[in-house]
Amino acid sequence: MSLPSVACVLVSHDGARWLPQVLAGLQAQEIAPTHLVAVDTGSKDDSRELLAAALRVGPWDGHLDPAPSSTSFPAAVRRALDHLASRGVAPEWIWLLHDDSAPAPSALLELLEAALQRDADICGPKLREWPSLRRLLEVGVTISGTGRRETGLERGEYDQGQHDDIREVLAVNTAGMLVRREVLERLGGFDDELPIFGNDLDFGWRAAASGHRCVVAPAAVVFHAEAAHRGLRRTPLTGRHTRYAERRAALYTLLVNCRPQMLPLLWLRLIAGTVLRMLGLLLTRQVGFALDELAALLSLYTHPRQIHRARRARRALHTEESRAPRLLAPWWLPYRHGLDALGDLAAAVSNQAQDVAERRRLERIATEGGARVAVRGKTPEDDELAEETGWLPRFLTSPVAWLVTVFVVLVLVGARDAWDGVSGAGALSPVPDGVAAWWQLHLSSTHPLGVGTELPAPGYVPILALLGTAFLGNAELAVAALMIGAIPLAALGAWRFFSIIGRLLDHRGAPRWVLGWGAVTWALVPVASGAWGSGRLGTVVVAAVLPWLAAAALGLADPALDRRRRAGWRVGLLLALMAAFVPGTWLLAVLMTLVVGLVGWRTERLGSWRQWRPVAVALGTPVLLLLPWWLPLLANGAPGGLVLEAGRVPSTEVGAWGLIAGRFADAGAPAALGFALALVALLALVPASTRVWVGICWAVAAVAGLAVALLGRLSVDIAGGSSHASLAPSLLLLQAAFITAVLIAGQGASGRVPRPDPPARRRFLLPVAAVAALLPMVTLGWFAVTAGSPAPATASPVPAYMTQSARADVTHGLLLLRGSVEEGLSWTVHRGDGTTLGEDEILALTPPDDGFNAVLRTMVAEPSPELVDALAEQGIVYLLMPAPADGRVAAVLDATGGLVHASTEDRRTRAWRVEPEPAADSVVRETARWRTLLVILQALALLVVLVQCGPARPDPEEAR
Amino acid sequence: MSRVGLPSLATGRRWLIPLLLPVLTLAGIAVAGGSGPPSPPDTAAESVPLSHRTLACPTADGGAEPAPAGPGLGPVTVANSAEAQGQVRALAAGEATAVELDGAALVSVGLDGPVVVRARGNLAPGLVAGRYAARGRARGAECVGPVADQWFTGVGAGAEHRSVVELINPDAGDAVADMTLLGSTGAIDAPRLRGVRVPGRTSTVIDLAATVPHREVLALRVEVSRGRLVTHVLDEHRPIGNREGSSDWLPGQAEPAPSNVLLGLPAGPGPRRLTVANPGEDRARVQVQVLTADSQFRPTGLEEIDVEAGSTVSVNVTTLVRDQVADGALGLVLTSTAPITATLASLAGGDRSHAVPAPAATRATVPLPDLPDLPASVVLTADARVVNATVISHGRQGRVLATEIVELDPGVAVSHRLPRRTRLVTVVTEEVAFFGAVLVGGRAGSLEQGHLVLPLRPERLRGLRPHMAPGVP
Repeated sequence: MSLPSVACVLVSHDGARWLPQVLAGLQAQEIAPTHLVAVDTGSKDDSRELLAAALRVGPWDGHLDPAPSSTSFPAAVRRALDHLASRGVAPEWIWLLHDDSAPAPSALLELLEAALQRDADICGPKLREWPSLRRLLEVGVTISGTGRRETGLERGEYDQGQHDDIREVLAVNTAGMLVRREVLERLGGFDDELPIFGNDLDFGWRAAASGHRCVVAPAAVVFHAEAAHRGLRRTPLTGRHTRYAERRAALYTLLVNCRPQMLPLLWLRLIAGTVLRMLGLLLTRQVGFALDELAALLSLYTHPRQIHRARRARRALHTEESRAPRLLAPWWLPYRHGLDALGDLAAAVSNQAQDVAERRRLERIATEGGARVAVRGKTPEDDELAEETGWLPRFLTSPVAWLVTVFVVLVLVGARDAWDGVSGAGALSPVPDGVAAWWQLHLSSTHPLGVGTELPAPGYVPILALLGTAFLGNAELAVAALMIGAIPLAALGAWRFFSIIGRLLDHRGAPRWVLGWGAVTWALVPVASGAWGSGRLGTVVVAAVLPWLAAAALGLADPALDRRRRAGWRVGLLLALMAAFVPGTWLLAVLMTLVVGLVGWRTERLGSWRQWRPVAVALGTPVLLLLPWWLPLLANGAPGGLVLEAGRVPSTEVGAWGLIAGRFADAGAPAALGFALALVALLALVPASTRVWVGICWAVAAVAGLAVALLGRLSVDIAGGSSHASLAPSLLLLQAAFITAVLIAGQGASGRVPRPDPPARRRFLLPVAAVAALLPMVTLGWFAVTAGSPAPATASPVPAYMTQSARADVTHGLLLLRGSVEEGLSWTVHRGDGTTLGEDEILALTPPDDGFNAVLRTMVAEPSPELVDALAEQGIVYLLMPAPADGRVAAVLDATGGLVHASTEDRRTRAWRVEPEPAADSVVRETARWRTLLVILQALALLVVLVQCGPARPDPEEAR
Repeated sequence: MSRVGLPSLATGRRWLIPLLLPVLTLAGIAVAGGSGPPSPPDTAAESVPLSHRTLACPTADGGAEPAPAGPGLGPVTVANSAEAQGQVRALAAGEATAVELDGAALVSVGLDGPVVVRARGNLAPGLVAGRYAARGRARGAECVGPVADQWFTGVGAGAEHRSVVELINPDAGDAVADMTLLGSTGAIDAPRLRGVRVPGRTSTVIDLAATVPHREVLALRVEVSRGRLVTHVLDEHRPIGNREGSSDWLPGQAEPAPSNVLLGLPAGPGPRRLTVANPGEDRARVQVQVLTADSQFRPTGLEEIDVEAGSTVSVNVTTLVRDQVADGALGLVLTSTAPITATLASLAGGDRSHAVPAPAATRATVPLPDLPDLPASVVLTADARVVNATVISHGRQGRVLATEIVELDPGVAVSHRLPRRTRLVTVVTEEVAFFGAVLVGGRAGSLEQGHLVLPLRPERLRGLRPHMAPGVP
């Protein structure tokens, strides 16, 4: 076979680092190109000298073309072709090489053979990693609907001959591309709009569209450094933003080559895709990349003429035999990548959350040698199970699986009635009609509640709004799911936290039955305490989040600074979540920090600011995130809101004994169970092997006790009386400390501690352990049998027609007057759908309207038409005295002109309609601009915090 | 282990801190004692001088048709026992007139129909009014304020004994009354007495004989379910035949009580009838005792009265009372096993009068009929322990005719004669309350002048202003 003539075009720019190997590769070719044109685009290193030397010694007709540095790749290729033409040379094939792509000796031969064999016009080699590694880079490429360069390879896939069939592809990389000169010229070469990146895909697509065949010849190997792609080489053409250039090229390629009927859809899809990609990049703290994405999109979308011109130029090339459609990536590929990305992110989060215990273990391996330290988690029990393959045998033989199943089933049985809806029960007000009401509550600076208020919505309102939105606007379901889901979530978090603690104690970790005990006991704390049954949403959420926060807080002790920093943000976010429901948790965290700081100062182990900075971040984050709540709360003189908790006020009472037993007043499981736990926690101090750790738990309990001492006497003025500060955070912390103490002692009793107590002494603790083991079982049984659901809601005394009137118009308020002359009268205003979840605290903390109160006080004694007018001005349409109405007051109101008797079902309930029309501007006011600013600030802060919480990105160098 | 911290745990004081921590924890909790129930705010009503007062007086003939026996009532007389001066308003049938008051001086208001007297400010405390016959036998009624629920025991709905109920609405808004009647066998079905609507500033008259004809002596309960109403009941006894009938207004009783003191027993021949109603759900056994100036005793010849739950019993006590009055009896004390209401109706010397229990008071004022030479005496007994009562008698012009101290003992009654020209009497005690009534005519007067028993009801000088505050949302 006579070989066709081949001219090699080598484009170089500052490639002295790679050129020697490239040129060596060229010289070692089994068949040499007849011509070699080297185009150097203004190299400042030794490239030109190297090229000049190589051109002289090779078996080819060599030429060095010194081009200016602004020469793009397409222009450089064109210069080379022009040079050949000027010399009257018309080689059949052009072989393109980069200065960072070294061909294997047989590369050209294999390419030619493949091209001739398959009757291809373009042929590309298999690209492998520089300099001669076995990792595959590309074996032909195509492009997905989102503009992603698809190689069809796994990341870092090794070349084991698995892709060695010659096959048709959409495009091949220009590094090593063998192309018929005629085809190259007919297609107009590479597009000047794509100076560096993506011109190969565009060229391949154009070639395919005009019916040319492009194949990849895997037998031909070229080692490619991808210097420009990896940012190892910066030219004026790549700029500093490689990603921008790449992304722009991809979008350009899609927009100019796609079928005309697809263009409008693609136009929209690329916008949506860019937004999604930006979000993803922001979440992984790649702000620069996100901006690059945006800039790439904008640069094209703001120049539609450019696209139009390019499309017109391509139209002439299109033929009936277009090969492009079947060579493009399948439609579903971007979605699979999306799922993969999510999976990667989850794995990264999980890996990043690798606890401090694991890293300590690794440190210990490093210092002590691995002799004593077994492989993590490989306990004998694991080994047995690992041998099994089917999930059913694994499930049936796993005590943990049984435990989890029994627990979940019993919890579902216990919470059976809650599925019908829990709102309106106990301390939990009814949910609003829709999620929009929650958003409105969060976004507004004034609320048409009562007689109008400027107090802010509590911090948990946007959380509920988000959750409700996720539940497709079903607010009722969102709250029910939160109440029920909090129990398993708490169990999961506790399992995780306790397993970390267990491994901190000993590399073998706590036995799983101990972990199971701890997780179940903790998950039942909100139930046993009565918080769940009385609808204390805040307490339930805090119980669910606390173990996760504790696990994150352990990261604050991580030796690696970056991980400490991430832990700080994570703790801050979780603390903000808890403080949104029970702000007292933040105060408790501050107190805890102060105590730890004080201990550190006394023992001269305070550490540097560097160590404390993540803690400051953790404490500062809730303040930042809850600013739209806390700032107006303080500005409106209602700081008391900072010690209350989510739900109806006043806060649930809890006595001294209740705190120790973990029981709110007159609620929850039998208190004896709680006292038993406290006693076991006290006895946990006895074993010497774990006393230090149990002591730490008791120190935490002491901080909780200190918080009780500080907050217990605090009283907050609320509408209709006063409320004590919520002691739920202290109660939960006490219980957490007790459970952890018992758990640690349990691990000690199992012998999985560095210096276990003698077995004889451990046997002594068996009865105590037996009692402890019974506690969660009895509690779970109690829950499954008796709890059911939070206490049922009481029927509203408001007649249906009044409720409808109030719903129809927020200015059609209903004034409820309760009490008697002797015991005092109290009033509340019912508007819209009544007081719903999120509005309780606003109404309770709103300072009393003395003027309106005086109007009502005078009205029940000496009514006059002017007072009735005052009612209308406040947007009151009905007056209602629920049964049993005080006849004397009712008689006075009956006698008042301007009040007309209104019907009620119950004769003992009295009602009147206010004759004057209510004022339209009575309670509806415009939202202040500062509120909008605060909410925007909050959203931005949340975004930043979420991004900061994300897993640390692996160092690129380390990854390589 | 030393990495963990807490060095003292690992060294010398190994037991100290583990012991100290639980103690500290529990101490912290004990110091605060948890959060008990929040202290309830003070929501007690405030006692303030009465700021407004409304009284309503009956129509001159009680609104009855045909007109009742006896002469019609004269003009309304108004006074202020608290010595305040100023203008009050009197309204009748859409007509309003200003009335200038000068302390205890009685001022006549010449308006027809039911008259409403309204006072505000300092004139409200101590406002009293009455409407009595200006000639002939003593009859009439004290003007009273609106009452939400009260009992009129011993009404009639028959041919010989009929009662006419006058409902007066003093306010602008509508009022609704629900009336129930208790007979000897229980409640009497009277749908026309339910939901009686009285439009604002009007009155309604209901003749029980025409509405619910019934021969028995009954007890009437008037509940105001909406608005405010003043109720007056004219009670007439007109025997069939040519005999002259007699009528007078029957005062109401605020609420059933297990102990009822009926003071004011007129002398003279004629029947006496004691009517007892038991609105409760338990049978009542009522013991009647006679109260004299010296003692309280159970008279012979009168057994315990059994009153079934929800029924009314009327007992003829003519002989007993007549004899006892002759022996100096001043009143009856009814002690019951269940709350009851009671009235002693007397037709002494052909003139009808009613003694009804009044609540214990520490101050009471009542205007008297303006009839010449009409004897009157105030009959008093102490509620719980010995107390001195001050009896102040005012003349027509408000001049104090006498201020006398009367010692009251529980268990005995005192009858204190008032000066002849007394037109307004005030009885005041300190702390310890008394029961009392004014007996006009009767004992010492001639039978032609008739008699009238006016219960001494607690006089309201102060009112309760309810505490008002926003409630728990």
